[in-house]
Amino acid sequence: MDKALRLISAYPPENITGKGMCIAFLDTGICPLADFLYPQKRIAAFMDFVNGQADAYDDNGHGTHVAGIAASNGLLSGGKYRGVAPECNIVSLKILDFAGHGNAASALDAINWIHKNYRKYGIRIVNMSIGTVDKSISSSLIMACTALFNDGITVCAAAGNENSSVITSPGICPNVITVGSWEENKRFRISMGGKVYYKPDIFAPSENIVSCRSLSFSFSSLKRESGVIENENYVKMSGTSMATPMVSGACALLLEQNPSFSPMQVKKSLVDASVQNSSKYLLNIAAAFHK
Amino acid sequence: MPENKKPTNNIDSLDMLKPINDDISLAAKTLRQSLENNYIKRLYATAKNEEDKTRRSPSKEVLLLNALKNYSPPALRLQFDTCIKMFNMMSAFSNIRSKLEGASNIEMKSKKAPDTNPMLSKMSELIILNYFAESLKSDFRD
Repeated sequence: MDKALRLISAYPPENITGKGMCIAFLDTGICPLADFLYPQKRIAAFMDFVNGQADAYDDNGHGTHVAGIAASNGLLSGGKYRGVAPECNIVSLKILDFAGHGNAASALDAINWIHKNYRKYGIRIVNMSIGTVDKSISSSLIMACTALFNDGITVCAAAGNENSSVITSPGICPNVITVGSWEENKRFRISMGGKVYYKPDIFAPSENIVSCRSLSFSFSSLKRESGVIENENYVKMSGTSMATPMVSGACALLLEQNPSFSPMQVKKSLVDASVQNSSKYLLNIAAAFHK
Repeated sequence: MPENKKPTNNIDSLDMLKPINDDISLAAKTLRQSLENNYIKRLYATAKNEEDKTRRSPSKEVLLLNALKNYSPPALRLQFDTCIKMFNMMSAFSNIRSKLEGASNIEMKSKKAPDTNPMLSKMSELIILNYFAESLKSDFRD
């Protein structure tokens, strides 16, 4: 994580830490670790759309890892594995089961919940390190993301790892910030509804990212290798799931400094400040504050 | 003497194996019952429901076959019935299949994502196909 933060120049102005901002994560849940609870409890809400449990948990490990990349304060690592916005608040919406699978109905329920509660919890960003299983376009997810966009919420979605030239839903939605893997994805032209646009919008590191490990992190049932363990509290994972929360964290920082920014302004600021390499645009947080 | 003792020892160990064998067969029986109750019976019930639903709201091909049946010679009517049954089964199976595919259509986007669900979905399809095959077999027996 420390290397990835250097690559994306995660050097915002002093005192900009995402404080007062809130990111909602649609994922496998969150394990209430010290990195999210001390010195202040930053898990503002937890909703379980899979098993209906009240207390925060993560029976897969993916959601905790993703939340850690965006919002961990790195307490258990002495700050080494802190996230991009270490003081921002977290709302965790569990829509994926223990195996990391879910359905559009749960995702839509969660988005509807955000639509009803975003003012109460101050949600300004939604992180979706998820996507459809195949390349089919889910118009309901796209419409739901557009509704969030109209609420003034910035949505960051993973481009997917299946193929460098395929983007899954909701990443395909023109109103979301689609995040690709700096190491693998390519940027390409999409034509939808008479409009032409390019996806992914921005790229971030995605290989071997170290972040928080859920206490129920499972190896045996999920084809994970034990080599990914960094230490008892942190674990390495790869994929556009890991690149997406870096951008979500960057959005939280940017919105802390510019609270009146619309989702489109946030997207433009980040894309304009990114570093272009061939056809890719690498996230550069420091540059976004100096534009 | 030691030569005589050897077979006795073998018989003793075979006796010892008996309770283990019993336990294994009991475990296998429990597993089979659990599979039947938790999965197969439910899938069969889903297949039956979908078949009933298809019968209540038939496709236009089935409606046409039904209409033609009334004008066909009595000897041919049985074949019309078989055709109608096949059509109903095909549309019921296709409906179930699309439901199974839609059951899990979102996943996390980290690498090494598990691929257990497609396998489960395929197994469910096979079990449901088996239901239709069995019901077709009993029709032909009748």
